[in-house]
Amino acid sequence: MRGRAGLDDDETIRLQSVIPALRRYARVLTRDPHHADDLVQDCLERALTRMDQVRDRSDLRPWLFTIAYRLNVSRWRRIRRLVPMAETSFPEPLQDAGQIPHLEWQDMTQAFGRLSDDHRQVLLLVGVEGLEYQAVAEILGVPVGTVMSRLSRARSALHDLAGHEKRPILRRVK
Amino acid sequence: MTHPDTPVTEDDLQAWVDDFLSPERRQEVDIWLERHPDARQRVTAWRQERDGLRAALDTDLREPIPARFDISRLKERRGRRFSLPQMAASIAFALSIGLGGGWFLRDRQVPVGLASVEQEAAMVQAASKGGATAKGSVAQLAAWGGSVLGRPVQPPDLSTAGYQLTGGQLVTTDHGPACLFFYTNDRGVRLSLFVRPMYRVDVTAPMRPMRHVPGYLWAQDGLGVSLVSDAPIAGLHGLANHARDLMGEPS
Repeated sequence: MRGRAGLDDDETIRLQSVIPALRRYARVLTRDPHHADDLVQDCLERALTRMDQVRDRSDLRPWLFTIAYRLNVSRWRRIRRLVPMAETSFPEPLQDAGQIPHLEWQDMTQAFGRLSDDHRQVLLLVGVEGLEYQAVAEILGVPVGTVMSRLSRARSALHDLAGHEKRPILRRVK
Repeated sequence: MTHPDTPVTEDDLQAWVDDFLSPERRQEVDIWLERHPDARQRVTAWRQERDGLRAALDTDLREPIPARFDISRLKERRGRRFSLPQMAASIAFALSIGLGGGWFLRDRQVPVGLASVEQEAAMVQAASKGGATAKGSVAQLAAWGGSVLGRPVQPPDLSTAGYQLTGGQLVTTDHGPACLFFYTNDRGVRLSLFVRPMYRVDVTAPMRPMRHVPGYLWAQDGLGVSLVSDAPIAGLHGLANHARDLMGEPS
């Protein structure tokens, strides 16, 4: 039998179980569900060539998120090289508000969509995924202090946007 | 690490929201928050917003996973990622540099037994088609093959059927080295005979036609053999039988 012929079933199951979280992170990275799924596919294909790195990891998310983050960075670099900056149009915020049943969630995702990329990433990785600060620093390739200051500013920004006062967004956005 | 009178920092407040404080530090920060209602209101709101965002974005997790992300299928795709022309090109490269060129097809997912012989032989034949045939000394190749394959390899003499041995080459495959011999008749029809040892599976197997190229393959005495023609010709089956009979004779 050739060991290389396939992954262990256990590894397949572990990888498969992280896909929903990976898709979600990819959507935050790309702001576009279609680009996100392309990124997920690239990421999984890359991951499959490195399954030897899986065994000693109890949580595959930081590992996969790092691959996704780097792939996304190089993808944007490639696009920016090909397309002059002025013509690069950033996709619309990812969520179709109508798909979100709960009104409060709708406000929250809209507010989230207005944040900068850096802020959305730390809020997802720390607040939503619950990853440790050090793990997030490694994914993003920045010092842990940068994660902390981004997190603080991101939380303030989200609070302002999703604030409980009436229509704070209108006052804030000129 | 922290001391009771360590001042509460912004980082402490974030860690309070995220539940990353040690129980002792948590207690200190809670006491501090009692005395700082503004900060308390702020972290409480942050935590509510974190929970709200989590609930909102968790709807993403409940979406069905598209079939394109099925890991088993991705693995298969990965196995098939190299197209036949690409594989042919890498074999051509392997042919051009001969022995020691590395295992170009190593990262493919491969069939086993005679099916793998069929795939390899088809690729090798496609790669060598139209190219200049190395006219290496056949005796040298047979000796080489004998040492690398670990057993004597003698190309059958097909001259009675009108085919002359014109050259050969040692090639690399997923399953180790293989010998390739070329035969040509006076009308320029070229045949290639591919030989490599079989490992455990299909050590002997009856002859069958190949699926994608005009050719036949079989296994005898632990050698997988295929005879492929560059173009469809009549009597190929008979030639293959002839080759098999010759190779089965004690030399």
